[in-house]
Amino acid sequence: MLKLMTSLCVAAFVTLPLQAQTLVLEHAKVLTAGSAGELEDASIVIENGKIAAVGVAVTVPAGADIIDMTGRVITPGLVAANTTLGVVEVNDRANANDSSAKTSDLSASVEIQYAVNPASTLIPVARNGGISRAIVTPGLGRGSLEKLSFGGQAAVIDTGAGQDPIILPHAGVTLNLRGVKTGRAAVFPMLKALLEDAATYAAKETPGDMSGLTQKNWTLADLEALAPVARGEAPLIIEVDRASDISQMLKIGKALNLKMVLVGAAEGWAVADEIADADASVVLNPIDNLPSNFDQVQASIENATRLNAAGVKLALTSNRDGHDVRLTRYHAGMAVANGLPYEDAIKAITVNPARMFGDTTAGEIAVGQDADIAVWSGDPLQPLTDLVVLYIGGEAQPKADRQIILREKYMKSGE
Amino acid sequence: MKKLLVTTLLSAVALLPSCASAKEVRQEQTAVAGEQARPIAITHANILTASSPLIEDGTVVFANGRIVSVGKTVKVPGNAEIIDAEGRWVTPGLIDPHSHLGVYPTPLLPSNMDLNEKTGNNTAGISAEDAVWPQDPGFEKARRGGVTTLTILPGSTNLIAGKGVTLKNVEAATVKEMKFPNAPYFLKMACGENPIKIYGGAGKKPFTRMGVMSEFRKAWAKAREYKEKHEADPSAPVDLQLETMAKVLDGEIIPVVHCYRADEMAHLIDISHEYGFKIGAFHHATEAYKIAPLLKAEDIGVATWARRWGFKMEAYDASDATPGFLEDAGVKMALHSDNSILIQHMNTEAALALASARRAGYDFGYETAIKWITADPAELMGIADQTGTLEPGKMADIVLWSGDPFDVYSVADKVFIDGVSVVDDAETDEESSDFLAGQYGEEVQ
Repeated sequence: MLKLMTSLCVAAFVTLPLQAQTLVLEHAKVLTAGSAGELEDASIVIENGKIAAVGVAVTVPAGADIIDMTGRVITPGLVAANTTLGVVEVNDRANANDSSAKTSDLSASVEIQYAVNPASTLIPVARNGGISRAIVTPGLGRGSLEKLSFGGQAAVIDTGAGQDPIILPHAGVTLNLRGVKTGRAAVFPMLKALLEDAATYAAKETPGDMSGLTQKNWTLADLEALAPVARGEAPLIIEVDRASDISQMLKIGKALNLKMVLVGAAEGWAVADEIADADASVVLNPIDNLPSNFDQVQASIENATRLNAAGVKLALTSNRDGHDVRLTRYHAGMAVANGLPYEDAIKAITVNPARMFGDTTAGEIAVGQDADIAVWSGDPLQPLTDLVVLYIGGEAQPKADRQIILREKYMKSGE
Repeated sequence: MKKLLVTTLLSAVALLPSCASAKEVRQEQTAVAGEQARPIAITHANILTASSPLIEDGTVVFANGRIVSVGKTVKVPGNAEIIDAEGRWVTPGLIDPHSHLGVYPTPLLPSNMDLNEKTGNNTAGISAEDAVWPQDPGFEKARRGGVTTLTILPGSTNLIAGKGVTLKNVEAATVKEMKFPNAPYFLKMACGENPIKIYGGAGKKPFTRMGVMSEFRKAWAKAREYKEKHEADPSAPVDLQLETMAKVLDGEIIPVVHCYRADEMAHLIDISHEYGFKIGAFHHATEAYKIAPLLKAEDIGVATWARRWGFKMEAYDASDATPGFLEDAGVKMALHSDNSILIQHMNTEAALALASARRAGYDFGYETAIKWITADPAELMGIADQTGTLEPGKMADIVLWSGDPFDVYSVADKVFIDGVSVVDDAETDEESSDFLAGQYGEEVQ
């Protein structure tokens, strides 16, 4: 929204010649993550913060700023799926963690958008890892919950300097199914009943009509938050590992025509066909290959590869900490080392996570997309490759982050 | 193979004096991966020896578990098995100076969480080796990542956590069969948030960083007193806790300190001077870059990560240039994992540290980066005379990578420990951990 405003403001109030807004990146290898695939010696035209043209034979608008990107590799800005970026500054006992609601009054209606701090020092660090957007998910990544409850509404955020970070405030509702203490025998019947209630409510013609619900303790806010999920417009984002739990969840969700995004899914590969059949997507860290508990005994380094082969749409992540989203690209590389096709790995850190959470405005190098563009010194999945520049909404982002500032300070003092 | 191994070990045990007591200052049991049947020559390889410039199209020969020769043109014994690397890369086996495999294993359950003896802030008398579970699936995963030697440390909730043990990453039923021959032990200490969180949080000492340093001083004062008493009267009663600490004062056990903040590391150095011990290395040490000249002057090493930061307040000031920064300052620098996933990717960790160093303007090459995960940790672990580089006479702990080890797509094709193949891509994916036996999982694939 702010981006749009900025461009409008520039157009309306600044008397710059129109062509000053046009930027052309020339002679790059472009991994579009879209239908155009991989382009050699291609150009990208950026106008008003959006991609106006891309291809090997584009017409360069007169007066455009042209940057020669020979030898560079260009990808869409990377998208970090399932993170606490912007809502946790420091973990542990620093009173700087706002990633979940500490009240039982709200469940699905918790909105993580209000916890996002655009001034977080983690955001510039993330940008230097090529991250231009992130899906911030409340209430996941924790240990066992006392009882079944929704974590709240995820948000898609933008990491651009000086921008309103919120792209989509309501990008689905989270549900942590990792070892709820009331036990599976109680959790699944209750979950089924809750989601059926949500469907009942979503089908009502009169807003606020809470009649006919089977479960107690509903708040109107929670029902309103779940209505888009019940209508299949927004995803139910389910953190779950055990193969049998995934199967149970898929059965419930499929009967209600839910759009499901599975998070973690350590044993997902073992039920890959069921996941594909339910048209569910999976967000996973491809190097989580240890049997951390009895729900992850089948964890495998080939989880991503096998799910992908079964036709499941994937998003690849580092761990959930916002501090580590800069590692996303290397984790994608490790997935490739273990059999994931390269092109699918690129999609799994760009367009796939964006689309899974309903964000259609970025994630590909394609005409009409927001100009979130990462320029690399080489293969972006390689540790020895550097980020040359990250454009967000067509704006080249500043490089300084807290780590660089500290480094420079002490390098100088050592001279 | 495994039966043979056990028999060999049993006979070895019989020959050794049985004195695994508190008096023990060097590890005595010998880890044996098996016997190398015949000489092996890996030819046409890019070889990073960790002690010389890159050797292109070179050969490494090893026999009887030891490296015989390495170079561009070396004599290959007539009976040698030839492995043509066809341009693939060879490095020393990777070495991790800080792991919790076996004591903080997977699955991580309340029933096998053996990392911290949280019964007091000083438990110097205990030893990680008494808890190492050799069936932790993490050992094999690390082996597949090229890790051949690792130190298992207890802690870090206790100020003085207990002894750490150095293992060869061989398949075994007991930890004794894994112990690195004649390696020194460690004493793990910890300052900062962890002890305060656990003990202060329970209303015990220490509650603050003031309490941390005060408790350290009290403990080391007692250890000094004990040592002096025993020097005067060797028949004085033995106290396991103080015995271990006295061995640190004698310089026989290497103290390593989990510490993040620069100011706290400086306090620990003061304490080491006051009571007369020499700190081997600071571990984690995310602020080491702030006191590089002090660490250099004190000859104290650092074991740290390439990228971890911000997971708690004392790690907030981490800078990813730290490895390059310390290397440039002449501080002995090793990368460590502290984590059972990261330990599988130490080659990538070194690549990340190298990339950050270059970005900060340090012109280091592969020869430096490989040291951070081989020769340098070996030195900090007191085993550099036996492993960590590909030099004649050293243990034949070797990794043959599918490509450039700092390329994210490379994997360990073959791993040798003492000249014996322990990972071979040509073989099946059979899991060695007993925990994974019969689990519907990898085995059905």
